[in-house]
Amino acid sequence: MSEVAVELERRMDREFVPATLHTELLPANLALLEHEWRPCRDAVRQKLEQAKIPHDAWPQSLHWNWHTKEDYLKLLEVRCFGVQCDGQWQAAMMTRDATRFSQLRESKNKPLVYIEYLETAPWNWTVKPINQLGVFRGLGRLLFRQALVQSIQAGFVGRIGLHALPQAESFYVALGAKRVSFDKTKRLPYYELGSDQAKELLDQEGGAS
Amino acid sequence: MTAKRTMTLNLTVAEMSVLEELAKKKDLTKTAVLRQALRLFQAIDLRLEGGEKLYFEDEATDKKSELVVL
Repeated sequence: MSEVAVELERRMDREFVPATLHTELLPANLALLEHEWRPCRDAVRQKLEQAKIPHDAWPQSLHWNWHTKEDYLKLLEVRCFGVQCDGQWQAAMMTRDATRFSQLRESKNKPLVYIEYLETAPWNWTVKPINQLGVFRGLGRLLFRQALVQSIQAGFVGRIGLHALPQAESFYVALGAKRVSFDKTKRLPYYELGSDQAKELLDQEGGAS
Repeated sequence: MTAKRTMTLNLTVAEMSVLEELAKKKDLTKTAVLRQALRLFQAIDLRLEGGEKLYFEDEATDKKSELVVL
């Protein structure tokens, strides 16, 4: 695994704490990650059930299981990133870089980095119906930025594509992604970050290093 | 970083011409095009090995044709 030192903001006291961004997760890492997250996923589900919260207000990645995604890592085009802090996996992202292409008019059919999955650890979710506040902030942005860096390194000038869960749409829009279409097969909206928006985002954050 | 190995690649004039054309069309370096091709080939090959088929579909004419990969 390749590692990069990063910092995470702890919501409780707004302190920045040291963390590690891993840029090449292995199948064993995904198994361990899900092993760490599963009890918390189950606890969140139990609280939602006890509070009789309707399913459409539940976190939309509650049913995900990273352990079942191990096989994807056999593919050269698939890469998995993860952030570790306090000895635990805090967030993960899986990307593809060869089988998805831009749908934007200005870059039609040009390659991009496609975010297949991006999720933070369940204890980092803010789940208002059960009064849960996430422990760390900014993990989604950190990983999205990493996809941007991957896109630039691959020569895709920052182009990123993804299908957004409805609860995450505002997050991607705030980062500059544009809604391109609605995918009837996945029943999810499809978003892209174009090269201009990618440049703007990097300028805001001080470059692609 | 992942360790890298170097190889020399000899292409025919026609192959190089197609590589240059694709690189220009996709705004990529020739190396990036070849990397993409390898990733794509592996992704397709694994799915074919798993018993799936690869199709091209023309939405306008509703025509579907199977691509046979050897």
